[in-house]
Amino acid sequence: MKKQLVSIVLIILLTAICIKAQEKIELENVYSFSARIFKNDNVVLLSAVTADVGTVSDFPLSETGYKIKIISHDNKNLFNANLGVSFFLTQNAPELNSTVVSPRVPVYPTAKYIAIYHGNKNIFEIDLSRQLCNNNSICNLGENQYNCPEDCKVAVKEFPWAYAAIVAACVAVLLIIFFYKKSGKESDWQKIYKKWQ
Amino acid sequence: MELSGINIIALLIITVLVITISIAVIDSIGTTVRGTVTTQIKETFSKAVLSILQRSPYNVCEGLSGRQISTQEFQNLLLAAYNGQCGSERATVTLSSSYAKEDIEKIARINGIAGDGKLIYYREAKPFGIGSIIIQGNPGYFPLKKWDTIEVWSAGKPAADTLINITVQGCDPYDDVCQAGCTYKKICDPVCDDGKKHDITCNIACIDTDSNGIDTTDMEARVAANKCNPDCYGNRTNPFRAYDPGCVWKFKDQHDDICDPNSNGVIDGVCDPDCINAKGICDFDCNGTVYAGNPTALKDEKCFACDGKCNGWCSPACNKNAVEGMDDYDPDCKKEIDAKFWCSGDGSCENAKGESCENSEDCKQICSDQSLACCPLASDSDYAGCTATKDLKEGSACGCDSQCGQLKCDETKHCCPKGKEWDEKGKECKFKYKYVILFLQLNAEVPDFKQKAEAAKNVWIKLSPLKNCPDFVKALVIENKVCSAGNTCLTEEPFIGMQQCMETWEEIQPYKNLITRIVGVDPKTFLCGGIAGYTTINSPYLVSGSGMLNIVCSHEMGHTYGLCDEAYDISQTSQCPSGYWDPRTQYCCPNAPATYCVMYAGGPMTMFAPDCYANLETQLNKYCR
Repeated sequence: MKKQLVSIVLIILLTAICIKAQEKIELENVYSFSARIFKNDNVVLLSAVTADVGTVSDFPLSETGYKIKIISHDNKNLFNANLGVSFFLTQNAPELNSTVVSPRVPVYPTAKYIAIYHGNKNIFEIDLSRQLCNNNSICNLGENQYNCPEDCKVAVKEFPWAYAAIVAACVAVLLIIFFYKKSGKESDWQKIYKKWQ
Repeated sequence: MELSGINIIALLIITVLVITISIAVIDSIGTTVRGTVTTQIKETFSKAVLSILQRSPYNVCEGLSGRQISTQEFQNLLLAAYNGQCGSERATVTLSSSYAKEDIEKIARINGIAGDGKLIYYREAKPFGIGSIIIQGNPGYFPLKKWDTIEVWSAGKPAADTLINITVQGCDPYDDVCQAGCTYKKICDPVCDDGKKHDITCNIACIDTDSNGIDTTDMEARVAANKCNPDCYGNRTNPFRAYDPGCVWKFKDQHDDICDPNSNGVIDGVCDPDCINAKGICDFDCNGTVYAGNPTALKDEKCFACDGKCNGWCSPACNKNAVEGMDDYDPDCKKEIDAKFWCSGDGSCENAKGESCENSEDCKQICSDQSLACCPLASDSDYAGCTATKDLKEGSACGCDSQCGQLKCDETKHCCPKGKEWDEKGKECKFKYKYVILFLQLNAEVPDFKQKAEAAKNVWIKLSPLKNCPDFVKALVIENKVCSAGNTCLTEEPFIGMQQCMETWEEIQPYKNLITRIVGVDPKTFLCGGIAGYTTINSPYLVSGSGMLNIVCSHEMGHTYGLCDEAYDISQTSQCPSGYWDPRTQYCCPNAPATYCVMYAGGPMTMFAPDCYANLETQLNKYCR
């Protein structure tokens, strides 16, 4: 019986983990911008950072020498991906002087700035407080208490009612069983189980 | 074996685990668990019940919405709404008859609704939940009048009430009430022209009785009848350029600080001294000569200089036959000789010539003056393209974005959140396209652009792992614009140009944050005299000649996912994990050379070699989940 239970639990857990681990494209809140990156590591922002609903860009799987990172208010690395930067055309032609990137990265509630690295060198930083914070007293998409404290003074988190209800129901059932057992009476479940035997 | 307490606890733990994992699985598939459990159950149950009850073959409310309806149809609509057949939808209809209170009672009696006509209320705004009919209609004898546009819906508990609300007033010129709705029907309601101020838009039909525009004859008729309508004399613009020359005559000898902008450029036989100094308004009657309408020989100098602007008057100093670019050209003069020509800024909205709120400031002003949405595509739009059907809810049928408030009007013409599209089967807005390829014409128009772009998309789907989910892939083809992309001969200029077009073109904006790749198509068959296309490795931008777009697009797409040109550019190396690189760029290629691959331009290009395909799978499979 115990072995069967353990097996069932393991199978369920493994299945859930496998499904959860598969990356898939979903609509989410994203920061987007375009920039022109020069060979000499100069970077020019072509379009300002906006936050809106969309999909996260494709980022190269292999190293390109360039990285895009999102850094939190306490300097934690929230997002790190290879940035598709190459100055070589796919035709046999002279190397380009610059190239254009248009990444879309996820919005994080603690994001402070977006950085572009060439190797270990930070070549460009986008301060989200400057780009997105409009001080209009409304906590808009992309703004948070760290990059726009004036607009996002109080961050109210939605209470997970569904999970709370399930946990409360389980605790209640456990308590009922506990007190029922303590009273020494035979439970209905036990009667039913005996009938099966 | 006896069922012990431990076993019970173990079973309970499993139950909790199963529930938690189920929620996690549902969440990972895409349906977020939100709100209370009871809400979730309630919503699911309601949806199930509605889906069973509302599957009638013909929905009266949907069928009649947007139409002008007869009395019989009005009766049917009331019955359908009363019986809850409209669901949560509101039917918007225009009435073709006026209905007195007893008429409405009679309809209710025949239908056997609202307590056989005893439960009809006219002053309430909120439902009682007693199965009544609540009408927010016109004051007076006819709560609902001919040409009134009304909304009909049901709301309230326990017994839903049927609510009727007038959204656009109609017109009945034979009653004793002044109705603003007559103005927009161009029917003179004599009650509104009684010399008193009614605070409604001036009705041109009471002044321009021969419908040939306000002129000297109309002025004479107004003066002879001693008429001056205060609603038709002011400093505000009128959608029909209506004003009252009778009032101009009345105040012609004094400066009253009113120069009616609607009199701009009109010869009506009376000079308004206030117009002499009014900017942007010309009174041709102030011509410097003495006559009854201009006793002090005033002259409005600005009328007699050719300004070349579209502002409502054609100066005698301009040449009517001049063409654009010439010094003596004026668009207002062109209007006089070209019956089809219109221009924005002259104060008139001429829908017969194709002018609407979408393309003209004159028409747009009419929408904003009346707080209407601009949507010429809407079934109930007026002559200027304005509609009262706005602030629609998610899933409502729409013609334009302006009707959907914060939402967008999607390709299926339903209001949905940005990035989502209406799913007819599921009756909800869904995230439909996950992979959007933007096709732009570079520097000049590409013949058959749409077909070529669609073909290129289809080849890419067929050859790549996206073949597992073709419905998620969209080609966003911008046919009516050309993107200025500079030199397309192996430079970065097209990438910058395409980025600017993507950023600024309005039609791209709903999809901007979904675009995966941007394909610029040069009308030339080959670039630089012999190159079919180019990009940089891992870039979202690529450029192609139009000659072989269908296959070149897939080849360059391969590059954008990191693949190298097969055979001719790949060499073996021990410095890369795959064992291959491009020695020119020292880029580690994920693919080994194969002459039958799309990445080998010298071959048949009918498939991606297995290692290329495997590399694409790692990056594209996520779009099909």
